[in-house]
Amino acid sequence: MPNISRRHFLRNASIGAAATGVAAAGGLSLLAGASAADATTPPKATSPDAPILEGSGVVAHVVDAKKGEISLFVGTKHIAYTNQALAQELLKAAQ
Amino acid sequence: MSSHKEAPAIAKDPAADSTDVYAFVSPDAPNTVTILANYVPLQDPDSGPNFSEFGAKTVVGTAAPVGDDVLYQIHIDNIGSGIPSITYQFQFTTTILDPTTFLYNTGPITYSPATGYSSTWNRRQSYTVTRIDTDPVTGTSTSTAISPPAGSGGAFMCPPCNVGIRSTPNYASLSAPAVYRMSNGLNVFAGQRADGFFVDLGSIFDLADLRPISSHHLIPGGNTAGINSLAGKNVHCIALQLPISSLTSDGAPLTMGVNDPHAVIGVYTTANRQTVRMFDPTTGVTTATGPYDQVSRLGSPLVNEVVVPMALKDFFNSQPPVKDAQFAAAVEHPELQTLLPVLYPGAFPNLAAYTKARADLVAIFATGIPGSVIGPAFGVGTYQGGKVIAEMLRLNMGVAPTSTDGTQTGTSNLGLLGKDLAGFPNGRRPTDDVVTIALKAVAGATIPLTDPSYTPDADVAVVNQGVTASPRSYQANFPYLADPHGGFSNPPTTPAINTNPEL
Repeated sequence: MPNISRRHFLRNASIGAAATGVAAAGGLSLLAGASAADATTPPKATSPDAPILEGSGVVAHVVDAKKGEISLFVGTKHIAYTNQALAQELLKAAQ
Repeated sequence: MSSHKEAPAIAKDPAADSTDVYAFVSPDAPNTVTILANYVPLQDPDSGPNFSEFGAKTVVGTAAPVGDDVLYQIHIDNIGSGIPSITYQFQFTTTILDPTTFLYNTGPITYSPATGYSSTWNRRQSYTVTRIDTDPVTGTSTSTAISPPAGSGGAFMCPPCNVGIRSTPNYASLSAPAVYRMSNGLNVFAGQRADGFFVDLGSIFDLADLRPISSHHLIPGGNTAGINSLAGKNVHCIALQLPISSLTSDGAPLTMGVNDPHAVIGVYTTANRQTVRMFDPTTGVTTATGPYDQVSRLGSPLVNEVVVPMALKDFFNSQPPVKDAQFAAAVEHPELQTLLPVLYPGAFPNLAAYTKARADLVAIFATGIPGSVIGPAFGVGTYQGGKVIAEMLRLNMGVAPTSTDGTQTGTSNLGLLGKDLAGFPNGRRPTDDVVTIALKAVAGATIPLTDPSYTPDADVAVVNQGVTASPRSYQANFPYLADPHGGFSNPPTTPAINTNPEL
C-alpha cells in the first residue's frame, strides 16, 4: 500500500507551501524534503532503430496466400517475405 | 481546428493528433527560429491529469517499458525539395514510481535544482531528442542524439500537468526547469501548455455562420462577437528554438536578409505509430511491432480541415508532402469557395464567377509565395522554387520580427493581409488569426496576388470570425505558449473558492 496518511499529505503540503514562499508552521527544519532518490531518471525510450531483441514477437500477415506474399513485422522492421508453402500452411492452420 | 480532430481516424487517437504548428523568427532572439508542434487537443484542465500526456511506453519500477508509443517528428525542408533535410525526433517514456497507488501525485509536487522533481509526482514523462540530417543528393542520413545540459539529470523531463494549487503549487517553478537550454543555442521544451489557437468552432461548424456577419447568412441570425472555443483549453506542446544557422542549407547565418537564397524553410510535423498493434487481454497491455508509420501530419493550418475532402482526410495524414500533387485539385478549386456565395447570398458575386484554378492558394499552401508578388520588402518571399507541390508552413527567416519587446506593438494578427510581413502565411505566430486570414483568402482577398485582373468582392473586408486571442495563452519568451490552465481553477470564472487561481 502507498504511504498515504494525513501526516504524509500535510508534510508534503508544507513543502509545497515553503516552495511558494508561504510561511509554514514548524519551518523547513522539521520537514522531510525531497530526497536524492526523487531525481528519477527513467530509462530512455526505445529508438526506432533499436536492435531486434531475441525473443521479441514476430507478426506474420499473409497478404496473398496464393502468391505466398507474407508481411513480417519484427521490432521496428517490416520484411516482405515470399513463401507459398508457408503461406498455404498458415492459411490451413487458420481454418 | 486548426487541425484538432480534423480527420476521422486521428480524432480517435488524441496522443498522436497534431493540432497546430507554429514557426516564426523568435521575437526576443531574432537570430533564432522557434517551432511549436502541438498535440493532444481540447484538454479541459479539470478533466484529470493522468492521461493528458504524450503517447509513450510505460515503465513501472525497474521493469522494461511496455505498451506502444508515438514517434513525434518536426521536419524542415531547407532546399524546396519537398523532402526534409532536417528532422527532430521525440520519443517519450511514462514512468510510474509507485504502482500501488491510483494517484497522479501523492502530495504536492515540488522541484529542487539539486534533486529534481519530488517523488510525490507519481506518473511522469521524460523524452529523448534526436536530430537527423539527410543529404538531399545521396539520401544519406546522419542521426545525432541530443543530450540535456549537464546537471539536469540525464533525461529531458516534461513538467507535470497543472493539476491545481494543492498538487502543483507555484506552477511556474515546475514548468521553468523543463525548459532546456543547450550550449549550442538549441532550446527544448515538451509538456502541457495553454492552447494559443483561437477559433469559433460553433460558428464554423454550423454552416460557417460567422457571428459578426450572421445577419447576412443564408439562415440569418443576429450579429455578435465570436466565441473562442479554445479559451481555457490546454494542449501538449513540443517546442524547439534553433539558431537560424542550424537550419540553413549551407549551415551559415543569413547574410542577405530577406533576399538570402537560404532564407526560406518549409516546416511540417508528423506523428507516427507502429504498423501492428496487438492488445493482450491477459495483461491489458497493447504492444506494437513494425515500422513507425505516419498517422498525423500538419504544416499550414486548416488545409486538412477545410480543403481536403472528408473521404481523403486520413489518407492525407498518411502522405508525405512530396506527394501532394495528388491533392492539388482540392487546393486549386476549394469547396469553400463555392460555398461562400451560397451561404452569404449576394455578398460574393465576383468569387462566384471566378472559375480559374486558385494559383494564389497553391502558392500560399504548396509552393511558397514569390517575394515579387508581395513586394520588394518581402525579398524572396516564402518561395522555394516551386519544384514540387508540397504543403508545408513556409518561413522566410530573413524577415525580422515586427515586435521584439513582447508588446506586440506594430504587429497585425492578419499577418501578410495586415501588411505585417512577419506573420502568416510567412510562417505562423501563436497570435496570428489564421482562421480569419484563411477565410479572407478563400473568399478572394489573395487572388489578385497571382491574377491582377481580379477584383475582390467588397464584403471580403468584413469577413471575420470575430474572435480575439486571449493574452492569458501567451508569454513573451520561449516557449511562447503560457503555462497551462489549472485544473482546480477551471473554469477560470470559478468564484470565491478560486482565491489563488492556477499558479
